Amino acid sequence: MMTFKSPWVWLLAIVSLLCAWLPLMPSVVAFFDFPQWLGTLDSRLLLLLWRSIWMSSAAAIGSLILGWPLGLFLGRYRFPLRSTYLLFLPLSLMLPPLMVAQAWYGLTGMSGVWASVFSFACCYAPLPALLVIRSLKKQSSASYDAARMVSGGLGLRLLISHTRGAAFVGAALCFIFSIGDFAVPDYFATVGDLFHVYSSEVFSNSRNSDFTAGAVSSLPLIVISLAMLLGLLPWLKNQQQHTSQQCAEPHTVKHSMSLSVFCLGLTTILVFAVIGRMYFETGMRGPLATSSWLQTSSKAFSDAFSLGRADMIRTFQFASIGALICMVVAPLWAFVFHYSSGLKRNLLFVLLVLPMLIPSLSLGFGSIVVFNQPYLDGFYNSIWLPAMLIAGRFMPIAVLICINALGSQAAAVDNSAKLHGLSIGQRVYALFVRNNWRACLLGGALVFVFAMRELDFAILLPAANQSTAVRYYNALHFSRDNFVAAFGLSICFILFLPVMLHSWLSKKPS
Amino acid sequence: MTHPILNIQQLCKSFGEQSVLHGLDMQLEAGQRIAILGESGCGKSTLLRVISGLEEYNSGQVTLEHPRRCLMVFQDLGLWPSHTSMQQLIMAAKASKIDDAAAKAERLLEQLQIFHIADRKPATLSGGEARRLAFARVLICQPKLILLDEAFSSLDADNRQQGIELLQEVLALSSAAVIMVTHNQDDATQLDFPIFDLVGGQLLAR
Repeated sequence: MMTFKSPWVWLLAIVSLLCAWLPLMPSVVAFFDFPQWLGTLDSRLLLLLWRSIWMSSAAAIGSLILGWPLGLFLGRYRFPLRSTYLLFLPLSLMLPPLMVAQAWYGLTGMSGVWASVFSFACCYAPLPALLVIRSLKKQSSASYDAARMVSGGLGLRLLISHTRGAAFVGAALCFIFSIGDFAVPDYFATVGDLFHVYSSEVFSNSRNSDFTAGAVSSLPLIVISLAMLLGLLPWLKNQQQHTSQQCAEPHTVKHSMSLSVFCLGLTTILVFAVIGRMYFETGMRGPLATSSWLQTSSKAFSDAFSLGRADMIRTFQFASIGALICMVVAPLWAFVFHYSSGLKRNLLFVLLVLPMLIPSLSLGFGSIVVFNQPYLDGFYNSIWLPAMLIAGRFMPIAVLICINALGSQAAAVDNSAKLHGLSIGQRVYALFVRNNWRACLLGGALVFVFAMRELDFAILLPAANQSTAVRYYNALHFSRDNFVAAFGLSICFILFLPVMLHSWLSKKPS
Repeated sequence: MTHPILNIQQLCKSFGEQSVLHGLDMQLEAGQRIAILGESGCGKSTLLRVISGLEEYNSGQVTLEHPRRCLMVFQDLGLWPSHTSMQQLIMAAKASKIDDAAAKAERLLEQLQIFHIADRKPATLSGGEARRLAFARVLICQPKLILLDEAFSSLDADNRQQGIELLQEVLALSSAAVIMVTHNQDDATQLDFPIFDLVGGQLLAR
């Protein structure tokens, strides 16, 4: 049992306080104005909220339609080019949602509400797909093989029921990320018919310097997201219990070429079409241009590197520090969470996920209110502030991955350590992290990726203004299409490089 | 009668509606070794987990004279996957504040005839070697009470016999009290341990 006597629990509390809970305080205080704000709730706001809910629900369903079959096929069957699709699947998570929106607008001219829904579905379809693949790695080979022997249909039904939870969690995450995003609907409203979503209301409230209104108006989004995440908790626990020693391996099927073509189609929608379009846009010229497509494209990449290099370096710095903080603290959080139960567990969960659910703008404003003090001037303008906020905001991602890893570890490993009298620090860092460094690294990597995409509080905080996301956003709004495309692709390439290297280096010799 | 190292009075433990241990009383003296028999799900492992402090109980009293010297050999051994055999022993010994950990670890590995696995990690060990290592890791902490949770249940007949011989060998190196839970009466009979049955949440001596 971890108690408040443990210095590790104090470390956890201090880091969480500095990175997440302190910047949240102004928003939490503003929530007390909710009853008053409720009085101002009119039919227009309710309509916006309803639109956001159904749009995000539609996006979540879309992510299921795209991601679930892809995850099922990639996770369970062997077919030509499977490893290539597996390699590119995470790339669509690394693409900034705005880039996906821009690419699909360029490809099809789509705009309006449904274009937003489609973009969100494409952006987050890898979540159900990746979670389904992970869930299939834990499926008992005995039960799956027994079902297959009865009939192929029964095997497929078992696959669907086994992966249902994972797919729904992915879709729920898609819902949560979509409902708080204002940039994509804003983009489609700019290029087509004007429409608003609820998160735009939060954004405009916050921009009008009425912090309280901005924070309090975000409360419905937080409550909806929180309810959804709390609903996921039983599934998370259930997943841990279903870990099997003898797990089913991917196997070959009759129509492997058809499967490959089907997955190629889905991967094209999620990744190849977006990358292809963006690459095409790097060389697009105006009617009076004298240079060739290739020359224009080369110049765009050259500009991207020369103008964006400093932004990239600074973003890498604060994203790396944020990811490192998460890699150190997330295993501790996972332990505290794993060994708590009932109300305490739910309360901890709320404390943990609140910084991720609260709109990024509110977190940015909150940190300005708390940290913009004369005696904190050096800190306020350093990369440490955005690094801390990154760690606080995206910590839940790393923690959930660690919780999953801890649940998959044989209980006797930690129980024996506990009985032998090993300290919390030894159990967490010498045993758990050492055994599960891949999970910790994955958590850190995801925090890094999300940090690179973080736009909202980067716009607000002077210390984070010089970041890739802000430069991308500004360039997009000034219609510098070549530069935007080249810059976006460069960021993706740099983020994707470690994934490619890892995949290449970890290939088993045949 | 000597002072008991374990004293359990009116222990009750339930999981939700299901009562597993129901007013259980038990005393164990220093060096005393017993076997507890019972069907699957009767609460044998739960009793060990409660004694070791891994599980909370609903009511009653569990008093251990040396709580930090009570160790368990788990059914799946619970070896630490990323540490070599020697590292496991040294880490366990240091956590138990045993002096001269490295020398004692070497000596123990030799006594249990597994010195050749000193630099190997659990994944590379045979079942027998892993079992010896699990016992060595307990012994190096100079336990006063060793809990054995279905130590041989996953073994076939030949390996089970080897396991029992190993346990006899191990216990000869220690004066610790032992509580072994099993569903196989032969294990207890071969080890010549007094047998108690766990029935209806209570212990009954045979």
